[in-house]
Amino acid sequence: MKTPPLLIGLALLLWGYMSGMLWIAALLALLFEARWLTRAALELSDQAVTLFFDLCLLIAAGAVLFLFLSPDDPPIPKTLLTWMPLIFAPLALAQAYSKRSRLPFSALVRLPGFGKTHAPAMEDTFRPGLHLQPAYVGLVCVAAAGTNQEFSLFFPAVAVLMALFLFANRPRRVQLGPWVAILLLALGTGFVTQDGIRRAQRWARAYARQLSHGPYQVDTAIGELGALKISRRILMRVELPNAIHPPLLLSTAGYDFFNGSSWLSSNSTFVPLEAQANDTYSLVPQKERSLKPTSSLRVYQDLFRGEGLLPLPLSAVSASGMGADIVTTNVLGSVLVDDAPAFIAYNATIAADAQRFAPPEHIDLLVPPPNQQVLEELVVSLGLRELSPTMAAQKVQRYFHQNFTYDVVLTRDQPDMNPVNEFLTTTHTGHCEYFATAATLLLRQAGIPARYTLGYAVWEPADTDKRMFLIRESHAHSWPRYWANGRWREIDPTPPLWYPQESEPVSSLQWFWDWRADISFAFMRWRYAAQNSAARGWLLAGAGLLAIFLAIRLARRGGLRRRQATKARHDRAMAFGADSPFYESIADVERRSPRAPGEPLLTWLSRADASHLLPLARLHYQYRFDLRRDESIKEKLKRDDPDAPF
Amino acid sequence: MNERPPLRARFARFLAAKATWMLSRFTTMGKLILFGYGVTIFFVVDTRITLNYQLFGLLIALLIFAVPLGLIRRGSFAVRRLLPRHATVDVPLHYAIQLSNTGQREAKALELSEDIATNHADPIRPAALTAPAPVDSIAAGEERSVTMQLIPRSRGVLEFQTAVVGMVDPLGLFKGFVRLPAAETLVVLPKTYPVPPLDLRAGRRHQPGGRRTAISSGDSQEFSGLRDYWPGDPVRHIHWPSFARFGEPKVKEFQDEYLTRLALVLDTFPYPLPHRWRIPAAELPANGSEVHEPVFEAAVSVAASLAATKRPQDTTLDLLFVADEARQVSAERGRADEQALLETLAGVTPCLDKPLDVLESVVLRHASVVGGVVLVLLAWDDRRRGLVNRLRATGMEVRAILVADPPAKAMDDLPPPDAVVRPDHMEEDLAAL
Repeated sequence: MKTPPLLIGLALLLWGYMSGMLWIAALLALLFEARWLTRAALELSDQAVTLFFDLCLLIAAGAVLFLFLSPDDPPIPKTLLTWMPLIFAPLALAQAYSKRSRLPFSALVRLPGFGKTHAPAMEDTFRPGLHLQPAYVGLVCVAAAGTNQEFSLFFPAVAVLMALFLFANRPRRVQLGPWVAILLLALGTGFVTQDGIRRAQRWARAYARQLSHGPYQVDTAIGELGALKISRRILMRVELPNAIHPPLLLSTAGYDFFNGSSWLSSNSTFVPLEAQANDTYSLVPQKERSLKPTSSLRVYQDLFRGEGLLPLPLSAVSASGMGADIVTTNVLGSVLVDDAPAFIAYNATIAADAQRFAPPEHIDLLVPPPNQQVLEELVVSLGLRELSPTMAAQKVQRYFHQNFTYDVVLTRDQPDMNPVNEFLTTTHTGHCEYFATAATLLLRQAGIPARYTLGYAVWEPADTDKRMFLIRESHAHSWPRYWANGRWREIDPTPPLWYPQESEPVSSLQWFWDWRADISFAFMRWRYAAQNSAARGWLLAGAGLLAIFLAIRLARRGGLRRRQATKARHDRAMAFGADSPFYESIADVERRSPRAPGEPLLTWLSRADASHLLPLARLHYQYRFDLRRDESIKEKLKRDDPDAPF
Repeated sequence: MNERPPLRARFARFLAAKATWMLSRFTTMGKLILFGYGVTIFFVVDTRITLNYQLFGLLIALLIFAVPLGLIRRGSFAVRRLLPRHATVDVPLHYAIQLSNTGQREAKALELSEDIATNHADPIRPAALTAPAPVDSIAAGEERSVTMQLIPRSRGVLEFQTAVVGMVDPLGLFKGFVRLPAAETLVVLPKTYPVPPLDLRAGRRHQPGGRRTAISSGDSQEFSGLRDYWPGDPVRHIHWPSFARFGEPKVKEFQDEYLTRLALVLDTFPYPLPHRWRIPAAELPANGSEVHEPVFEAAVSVAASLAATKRPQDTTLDLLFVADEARQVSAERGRADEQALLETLAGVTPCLDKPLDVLESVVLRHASVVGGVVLVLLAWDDRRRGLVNRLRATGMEVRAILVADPPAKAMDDLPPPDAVVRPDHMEEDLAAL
């Protein structure tokens, strides 16, 4: 398989352009294409191939370590993919300057104990292997695509590279006309195919997005039937200060409009927050920033693709240490981070009487018409309008705690009835969404602005640490928030009995999943600490030293292997006494009177007046031709003394 | 013997055959495209992560065009192989195939390859490595000689089944196949290594019956030369003037039927593992012995190397082994019969149904005419040591070569064999014999 001139260079330039490393790419391209200018070729032995491949792996390992400890926390697989052309450049360059186009796999990967050391030296044609240059071009293209720059000319560029490659390797004597026609057809089909793939995925994603709405809308299970299936997976961990006692509610999002089954947020424009010193984001308006923080809690959270909503307590004033590039918030108090590491640990500072939500609006008093009658009766019977908002909210909470029961099994006796009305009048049983929705609507009916809040309840202590609490997926919770005395407050109408119910293990292997989560958490926390500490420099330096040590060892072992191999060959050639010291003894005689061709050794020695060497010559014969090699003869020959004792 | 192989082996064989069949239809470039397809397909899962879906689309489009275009190509050909008499394991073999285009049109862009029957070993492996040879074009009715190359991987008979003409699609990625039945066989000799000449100092024995190839037969006393004295040479043959001149006894050589006859004995019997070599034969369990293929192949190679090595002019070499029955093949003195020995060794198989005593009786039967015995042994257990001792007791010159790589512990308090050849270090160990 041929690699035409410029193919590697062009592919590298494309990669450099897309990855923003154009200068490096241009340099590499020059190095590769300069091979056409030189006639000298490297002798690339199997050992050398192994050595270069090991070097590439070493570079790759170093790159992984570098990325792993990098505080920006770049996505390791993706960055590694982008760096692939650099990582494998040493091997590809060595191969490009050698005569070997096909490298056997057995030479690439030579694990200790694998592969016969004395395997017959076979031609590369018969060994399973890889044409490295075209494969490298492919790698460069995959890496270029991995940068994921929106580059409309990427497909045409790759198509040109492919055409160049196919042209150089087209079957001989094939007619050019049909060949070009077929190639153009194939490239056209390729364009349509990739466009189709992209469009199909975009459509599928749009369809999926309709099903889930994130911070803008939440679908409740209100009105549905059957047991709620909630996993006990550990989502995050919270470290509470001594002053705060669980249960504590952490909200992720607020909603202000109920359409019968879903809660929506009417005004959910997210606005970016300005970062202050030390990666701190203030969540409250300017005038409240002077409030003295009372305490702060620490949250450890995994983020999917570096994006997610932060769970925060009601009176949080600031959040710090997310390491996110973008932090946004909306009037309903949701805080969304983006471009953050996959694992974040942040501090949420709390100040009593802080106010981070916008004041109520008209929409916070709306009650859906189907529910108005039932709610009105309840408001009247509880006498909520006569009470202050705080007292009314307390009464609502008490009312639900005393007269309702918590159950995750959703049953309905009267399917025609409005589910909320049925909950309030007949079943008196439901899960937190029922309680939160009913309480919110009840408060609104009584003229108190209220919102539906989604988040998590913190109450399950972790085994390891007294102040550490686990938040499982089943601890997701909802509750109302109401407006009283110029600030938002919270109640939890769900009977507190739900806590134990939601901690019963669903799976008998729960201990195992928890253990696994603990391990992974400990690792992530350690890594987070390593990334953000001064120790990082030391770790990197240590890794660098280790790499140098390994590289030297690798190089020396490779060299040693080669030297030993040549030495062994040398030994075999010398196997039958050609190393006899006798040759040195007769060197003088040889200079004085050269031995005629075909002249027996003994005759010559006699003729050359060197009869004193005759006994030595007989000894030499013994050494040279007796298969039962006696090393003591060599010693005697060395000492020029045939009669020396053994 | 015709047992069905286990399901696992049959399934592996089936998979290997399918994979080979599919991959063999792609050209080298096609395989690279296929590999790229396999890599980029993982990125298609989410087109937002990378642009590799574009590469994927490009590669799959090329395959979509190449495969049908390769499959629809038609042609008509005939082949004739020109094979040598022998090949040797691991030695590249060049031979020619006369490929003729019997169709009506010129055939372009061809690749000629061989389909060789796989070994019936477990795990299966190809009997030979082959490489397809490209053929640019053949005009209608024309014939072209194509040089093929293969490396036999195991000794025995190499069965050529069909010659396969691959017709490459215009993009050069996929081949349509035309299979041409051309069954042929080739004997693959075991691999040999350089060995120093056999020097057994074995006495000469009278060989009754004379030899066809002797220049004269019977009790001829024609003087032919002088050589060093070996133990066993009659004193009356000593050439006294030469003794006086050289200070060492020299004997006269005659063209007569007193000659040296060596037996090369190959052990083909099951053997116990090294840690049991110390246990007396009577106490050894009956089912603990087997023949390990790598060791056996190494032993065959050792025997072949010894058979092929240079031997003195007047030495006859008998190869003795027991396979289905006791076999003897001789390389006569003064004749290059080594090929016959190697051909025999190419087909030797382990003997699993007879006791080791058979070999002993065969060798002892030869003792009257044989001066020396070279034993190539698979193990150094009690039975084999006994065999060597009994042979030595008959006064023969015996050299026992053990082909094994036993741990030092297993050999600790055993009398050492004359030489040990480790299967992984054949070349060095044989050169040092």
